[in-house]
Amino acid sequence: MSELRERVQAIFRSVFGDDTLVLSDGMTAADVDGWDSLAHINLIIAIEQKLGVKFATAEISRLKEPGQNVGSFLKLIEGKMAGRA
Amino acid sequence: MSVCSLGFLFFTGVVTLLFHARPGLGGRRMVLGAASLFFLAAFRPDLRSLAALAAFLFVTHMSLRLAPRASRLTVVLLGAAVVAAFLVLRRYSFLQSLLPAKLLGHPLELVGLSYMLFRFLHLLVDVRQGQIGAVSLTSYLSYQLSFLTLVAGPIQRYRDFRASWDTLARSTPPPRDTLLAWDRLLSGMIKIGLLSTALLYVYERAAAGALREQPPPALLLRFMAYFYSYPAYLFFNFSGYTDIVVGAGRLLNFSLPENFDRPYLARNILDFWNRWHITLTKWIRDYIFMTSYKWSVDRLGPSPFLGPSAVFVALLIAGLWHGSTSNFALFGLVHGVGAAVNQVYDEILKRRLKAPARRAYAENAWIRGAATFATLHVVCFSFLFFPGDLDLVFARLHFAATAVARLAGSAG
Repeated sequence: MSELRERVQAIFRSVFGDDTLVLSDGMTAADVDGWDSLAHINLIIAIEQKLGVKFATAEISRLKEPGQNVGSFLKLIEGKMAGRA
Repeated sequence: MSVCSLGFLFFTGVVTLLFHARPGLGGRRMVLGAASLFFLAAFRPDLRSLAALAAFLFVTHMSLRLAPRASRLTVVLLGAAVVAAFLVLRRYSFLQSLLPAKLLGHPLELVGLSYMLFRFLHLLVDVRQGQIGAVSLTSYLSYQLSFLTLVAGPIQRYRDFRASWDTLARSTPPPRDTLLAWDRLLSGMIKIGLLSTALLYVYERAAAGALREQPPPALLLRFMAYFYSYPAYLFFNFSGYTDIVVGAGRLLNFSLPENFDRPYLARNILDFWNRWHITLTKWIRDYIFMTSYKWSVDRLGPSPFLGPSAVFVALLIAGLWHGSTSNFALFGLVHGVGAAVNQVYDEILKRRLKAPARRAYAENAWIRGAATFATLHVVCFSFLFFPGDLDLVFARLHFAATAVARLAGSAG
């Protein structure tokens, strides 16, 4: 597992209070218990604080749209971290 | 022009024929642009209102052009100035004590202004954050004035609008899709023309009779008709409208977002808003709830009060957006309180129950049934405040409560 995936998984586990949660690319909000709008924004805030990236409002919104999943979320974070480096 | 009319049916037919007679992108855009101007003109706005609309569109488009280069403070001030102008144009009642009566006594009527405001604010934020590139004046006018969304939404995002606007030239849909589009459009007309009209008649009769002296059982029956008919009327009217414009859009290679998903089966207030006026809910979620919550957490740190507070404010604003008088504030207040309680309850469940137990709780048919029943009644109660006079609403509620008390007394 890549380092980024491990770090994001740790943040997911902390936000959703589930130490058994394992991220997979195809996972969506519907697959994670309690991934509502409040949890979504808490997740974004935690990722911004721990990984030092910033999300635009439209990006935060798009992540909840159909067709989006953990894989696309990781790609977005990866792109932002690469742009920062 | 009402979308539920023979005139609109004829108008859609003519626009569809002209649209498909022109194979190129430019020609089809011209047909839709001309159709939107004709549709706007059918409301017969007076010259002053037209000038105000032109000024609104010009100033907001200039703001979008400035947004990428201006400071953050300038963009916030531009947005605030447009919101202030909106409040004055819509004559919000709370402004009466703050502004001279002359300023609010203007004769201007701008069709679809509430929707235009939300479309503009979404663009302002997204252009500023680099999510949307330059917006040309013609694209902006086509987006804001499209006859498909001018009067009552849906609140389509600009990116989705462009996805359709840029692919108008694709080939004519197969006959089956065309028939399904007409079916959707005509279903909407039946919903508005027959069902919602009948329900409005029931509502008006029941509302008129709900303050008449009569035996308690008859009064309660009348009150029930009053209580349930207006929410049913609103659903058929608004979802019928959405059916009409979604169907018309499909005839013109234009995809519009859905706005309803069986809202009266919602199991709580937050769920209701995920099913009722969905495009408004998503707008409020993204640009008010998430933005204000994130801003608060960034500055104050996490707190269990911030989530319920942000959702309360978001739904209060959703209520106020519907209209300029205090009854809409009350509607928003009921939903804001309901959603905040909903969120606190969810938080308690998350702390007390582990994930499998929470799932079992959510899937329990009795709990689901009770939650749906309770939500339906809170929503119906909130819709009592939607139309008309608040004093009359409270008088009807008092009358019904008295009848219940008398019935309970006679049974005892």
